[in-house]
Amino acid sequence: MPGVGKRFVYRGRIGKVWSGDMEDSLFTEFVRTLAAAGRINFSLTLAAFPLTLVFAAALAGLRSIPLKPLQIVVGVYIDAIRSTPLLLHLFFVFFGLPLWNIRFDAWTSAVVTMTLHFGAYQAEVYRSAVSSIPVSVREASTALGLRGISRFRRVTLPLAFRISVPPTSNNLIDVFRGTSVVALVAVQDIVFKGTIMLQTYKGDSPIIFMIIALFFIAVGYPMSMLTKVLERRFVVV
Amino acid sequence: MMALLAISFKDIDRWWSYAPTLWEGLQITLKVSICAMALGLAIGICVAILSQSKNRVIGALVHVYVQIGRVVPELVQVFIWYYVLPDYGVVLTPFMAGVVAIGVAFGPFVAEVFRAGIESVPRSQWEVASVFGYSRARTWYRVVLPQATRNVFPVLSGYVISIFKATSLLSFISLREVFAVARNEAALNFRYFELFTIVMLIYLALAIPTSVGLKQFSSRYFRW
Repeated sequence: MPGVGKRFVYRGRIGKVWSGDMEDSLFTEFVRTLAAAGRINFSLTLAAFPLTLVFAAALAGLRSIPLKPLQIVVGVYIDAIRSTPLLLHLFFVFFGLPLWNIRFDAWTSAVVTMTLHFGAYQAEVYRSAVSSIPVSVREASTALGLRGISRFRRVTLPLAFRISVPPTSNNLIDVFRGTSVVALVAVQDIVFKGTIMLQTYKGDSPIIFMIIALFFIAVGYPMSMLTKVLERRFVVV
Repeated sequence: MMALLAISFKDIDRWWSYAPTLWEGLQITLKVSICAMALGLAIGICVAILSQSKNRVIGALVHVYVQIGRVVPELVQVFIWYYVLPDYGVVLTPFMAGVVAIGVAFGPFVAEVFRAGIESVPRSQWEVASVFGYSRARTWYRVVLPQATRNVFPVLSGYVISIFKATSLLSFISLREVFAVARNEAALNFRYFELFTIVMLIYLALAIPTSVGLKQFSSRYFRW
């Protein structure tokens, strides 16, 4: 591994804080390498999650158009995606699509896959948010003379948004957890790096996997606590 | 596009030739899924019951297990059971590691679902049960858990499908389940699209009857 045992000189923003003849311990080297690989997980999440939201909005929008065949197609897509594994979709995009001359590099295909996969889940979130608005609200807004687009914009959307915040945040956690799977098509994320390091440092597998687990906990635990807060905050009815 | 849709008898013969190995893989997938479901359900129910305990240590432990288990990806947990435990002298077969990993990974989700279900059973049920002279264990078993199960059954059946899906990860610890078999076949003849489509249809063929069946079951069994 590059850098093991090199002299370590830290030049931070505050200037030279610490330098010395201290050899890097294997542990700090593991942490540094894995954390560097963890950036891939972040970049995947940051790229895929907004796309997921947009794609899901498009799906939900298509489904709300009163055109039966379209609704059936979108419904079948959502259900089919939701009942088959992310790993399979990833392999479809990474190994299957090149046969139709659609080629992405590993990172892009991971983003595309996660958008297609989690978009289906997020579309369900939107749908259930809209459908959980009580009928009486719709009737009341009709009585106030709101109709069509203006009712959607002023009544349905704000309410549905509030309802959909906690499950959306849950979905964000799922996207982040899902980034671990991309290791299996050789995107060099933290899990991939971990399995590679496993071959070199066979005896250190507990440390390597502890660092990987801690990485996911350090990011995921605050997110899941945030979801709990949001759940309490965004109680609508 | 039409060229892609054109199917010849040769294709059908080839698809048929996949059947024996895929069937073997499917059996392993089913076995792993069912064992993992049983384990996950057992862990989930126990943890949900423990979460109602007034003991703060138990409460903290449950919180740690549930919150950590929910954020560490299944794949990492699978690798931990398969690659890390041998360092401590515990060598699991891929099948065992898969069952334990998936079961433990889904325990927290099941526990959260059951906790919500248990909390949805009114306190008065406990009081009525004690009036009838039920012991605590009997109250759990005969009064609270059946009602909790009924309340959470739809959510729970969603996790059954998730466990089917999660078993696909076990192809990476050399368990020869259906996805691993398909990958092997595809590596031989490069017909990735075809094989992955077949596997996708197999997963759908597992998931759709399961969810329909569970819905039927709950409408029959939970009529009270």
